[in-house]
Amino acid sequence: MEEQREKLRSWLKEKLDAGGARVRVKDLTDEMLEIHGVKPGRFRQLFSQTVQQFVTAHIGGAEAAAWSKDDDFSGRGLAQGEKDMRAQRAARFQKHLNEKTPVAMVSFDAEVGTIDGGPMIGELVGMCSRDEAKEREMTRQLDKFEWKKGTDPRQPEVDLRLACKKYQRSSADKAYKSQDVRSLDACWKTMEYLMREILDFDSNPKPGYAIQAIPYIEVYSFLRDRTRSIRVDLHLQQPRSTTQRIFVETHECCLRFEMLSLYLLLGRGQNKEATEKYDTKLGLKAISQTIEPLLNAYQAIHEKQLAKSILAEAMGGFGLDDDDQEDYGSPFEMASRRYIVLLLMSFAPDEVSSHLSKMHRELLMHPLVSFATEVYAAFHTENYARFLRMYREADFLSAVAMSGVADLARMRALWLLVRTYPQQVGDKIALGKLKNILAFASDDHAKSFLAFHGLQIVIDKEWAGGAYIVLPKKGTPEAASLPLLQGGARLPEKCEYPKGADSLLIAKFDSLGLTRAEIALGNADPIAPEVEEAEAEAEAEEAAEKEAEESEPMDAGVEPLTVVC
Amino acid sequence: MANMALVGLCGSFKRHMERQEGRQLAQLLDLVRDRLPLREIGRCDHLQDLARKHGGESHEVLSLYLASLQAHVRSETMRHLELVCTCLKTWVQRYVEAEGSGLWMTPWMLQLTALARRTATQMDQAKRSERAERPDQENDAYLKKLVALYRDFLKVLNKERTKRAGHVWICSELLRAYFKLGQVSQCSFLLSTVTQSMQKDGFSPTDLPKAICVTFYFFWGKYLVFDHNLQGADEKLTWAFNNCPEKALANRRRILLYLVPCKLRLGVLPTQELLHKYDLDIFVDVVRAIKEGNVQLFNQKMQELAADLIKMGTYLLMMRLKFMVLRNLTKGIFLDVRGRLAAPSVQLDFTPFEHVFGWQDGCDADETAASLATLIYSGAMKGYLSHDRRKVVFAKDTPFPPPSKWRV
Repeated sequence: MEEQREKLRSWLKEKLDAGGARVRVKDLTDEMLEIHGVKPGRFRQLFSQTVQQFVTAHIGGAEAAAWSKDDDFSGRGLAQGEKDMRAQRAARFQKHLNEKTPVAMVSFDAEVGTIDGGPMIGELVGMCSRDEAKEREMTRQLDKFEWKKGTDPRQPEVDLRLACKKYQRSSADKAYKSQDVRSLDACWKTMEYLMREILDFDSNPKPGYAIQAIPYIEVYSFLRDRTRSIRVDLHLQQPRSTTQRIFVETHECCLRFEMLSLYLLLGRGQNKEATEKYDTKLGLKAISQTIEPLLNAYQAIHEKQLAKSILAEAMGGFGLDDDDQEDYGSPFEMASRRYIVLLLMSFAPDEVSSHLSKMHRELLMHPLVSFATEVYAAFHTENYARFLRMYREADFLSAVAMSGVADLARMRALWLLVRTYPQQVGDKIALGKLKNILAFASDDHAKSFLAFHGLQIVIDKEWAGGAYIVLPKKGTPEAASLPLLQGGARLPEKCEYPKGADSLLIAKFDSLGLTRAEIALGNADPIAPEVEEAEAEAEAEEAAEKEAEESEPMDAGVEPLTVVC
Repeated sequence: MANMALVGLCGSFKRHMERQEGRQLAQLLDLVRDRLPLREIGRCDHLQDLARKHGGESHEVLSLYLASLQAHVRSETMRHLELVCTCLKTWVQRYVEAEGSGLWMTPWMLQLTALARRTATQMDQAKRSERAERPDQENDAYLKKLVALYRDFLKVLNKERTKRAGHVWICSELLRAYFKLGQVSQCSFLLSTVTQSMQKDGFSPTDLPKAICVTFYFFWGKYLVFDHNLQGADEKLTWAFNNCPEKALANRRRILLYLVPCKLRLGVLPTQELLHKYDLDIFVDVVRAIKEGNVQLFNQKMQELAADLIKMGTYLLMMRLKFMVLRNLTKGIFLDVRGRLAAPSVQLDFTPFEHVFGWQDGCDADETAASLATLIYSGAMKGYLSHDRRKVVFAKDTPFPPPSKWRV
């Protein structure tokens, strides 16, 4: 064995000295097998390492051993193969210790914010190109809302007036052509069409369509796809499109649409007849895909406006293009930011503080946004009574954004009340009181929630709300079985009350008196108090002027108007 | 003549390196101190040769640094940053390879990281103004690149048991960057690495040079504030404050911005002198509101300070103080009402509480009951609420426990 090892070692040394780093391990292994009849397994037995390790060590200076061959730290006799292995390992480290490895230059240039190509300008002026519509007709990828009226559902024909460009996933080899990308105006035209004609189709079907009765979940599915397609067309035209009105308005509209859908599909209860179920995660994903470009657009507009104002100041106001209408400052920005903070609080709580910390001071101080931060603070400082009061007082869409944690807040507020009554004697609390604290808009909703959590409700017209809730005496079977009294002293982590119709949201929606399209297009957005006051003042002034005009005596020099029939 | 200054610089570098005089080395190469022959550096076209000839064994580090200074003088900011980072990378490698703890090498490491950080921040700010034209550009791109570089350093330093100072310093730089980037959640992984090595190797960051340890404990405490770990935050920030030099007023103030809210929540009120000394007047009215139980004042101050507190990350911590104010308000009502009763009782009617809460905090009667329930749950008040009889029943013994006994 020793003889074989030595023979093999000399042969390998010769080969490696001649070939150096160019030697291929496979070729060496094959040659070793052919010439010496040594397989890789046998080699490993002889040298206590693989061929690859032997070669690597040799090329790295294996001949210079860091340790003497006579060293034997373990106190036992080492086989030659093991000694070789140790010597080669030591040699690898010797190289590492002796030589200063050159340090690669740090480079930033290639990796920091470069973009290939120039901006695209969409040329498609319709909602969908004829080619795409016909192709989808052929491949039966039309949606029901695009069918020609009276068409055979087995082989539907497209109504070109109703066809809307479908969302297509991007891929590495996909090339976008400007003739297939909608212009900004076409994008907005499509958005308006979808919101005005399709959004309320389940409750208000329009003539001229192939389908009439359709549940909202299918309406939502269609709109989700088509609005995503609009956003893609807008993004393809960045950076030119980013600071323009249509970009911002479309994204704001998409955000409201998704929030409205959250209410229509969850907040007012699921439609049990629908074949499809609303997946909250998909809805939230669509919301996050809308929020990011919208926030970027707001940021870009602010920065551009700031740069312009600095330039204007420097140039004394001269040389500026005052007719530049392209950069748009949205009047709905603060409301949108409010929704975003509330949505994050409800559905992505870990992101709220970093989101808020990146906002400018002026934005955080705006009344519409500060409402959202106060709501966030109320929930996260266990001030559930305050949170629920704000939930009660919030506008419809803000309440929808808060609804993700509303039941948890209710449950915790209830738990706190139940843990602080005199258990030795028991107690009673009016339904009306709990309904107010827990922000329910209907008695039925309140009773359902309370009963779900194990509380006994006794009807008694003497009490506020027409009933009272029994808080059982300690030691009674009712107390022993009340879930709110079981468990540790920590606030509950989850509320198991089934997600469904929230009476408060329903009441807010009903009291709005607006169509879904009007909500999606911004008519339900909250207005800042100072704007409201200013508007009220302006209205009052206008009314006063009008009254003054009417009460003024006619000037003798002015001839009365005559009506010519 | 111009070269004489450079030769002198190289010679000093070599001398300090040979004698392992870390502090002197850092002072020699400090760009902020304005003692470097920058004009000569800017004009010289053979810096590398000079460094090789006069800079001693570590001439390549000096060469990189001089090249970075040259780029700085010529306003080639990108190149300056690249060279500073390469110089830092080289220095860290030398530090890892050095025998023993290599502690003498840390002062210049601290300086290089500060220089890289400042330059990256400057470049990111410049890029932000371009974003209007290029909204696709990433925010804080250069800082993120620096983070990637530091992560690479950490991979190497994690394995070096003797190089804890450098390891902890790079951790501090990463924590600082994560806060700046709004990636606070990343801090937990980093801190658990340090905690693990502390447990495994038995080393304590408090054994390291103060400049490193105070910085590290400050960021650790800051993270614990974000994580709502009050006790931990108090411990770390108190240590950092007590060990931060008295003359470093700005740094002590930074620590107090996080320590004061923690202490307030634990019931320790700062003195007016402390607040004025460190220009912390933002807390003056808050402290007064807490002492007086003045919820209106508290709400008003919180509205005014919300933006600043949010940026600092202490907004939620400060808002939690509201229950402290409510507790003191409740105590005030309790003492006042009880004092007017012919026979003092611990059972008081809801009405005065509803009235005062409504006046101070805009609560209706129902919300008042809910707020009192929260005070009881948090341990700020001992007692119970009888809704049927509309009574608040306080404990006879210590109805208002001190904040240190409350649920944190």
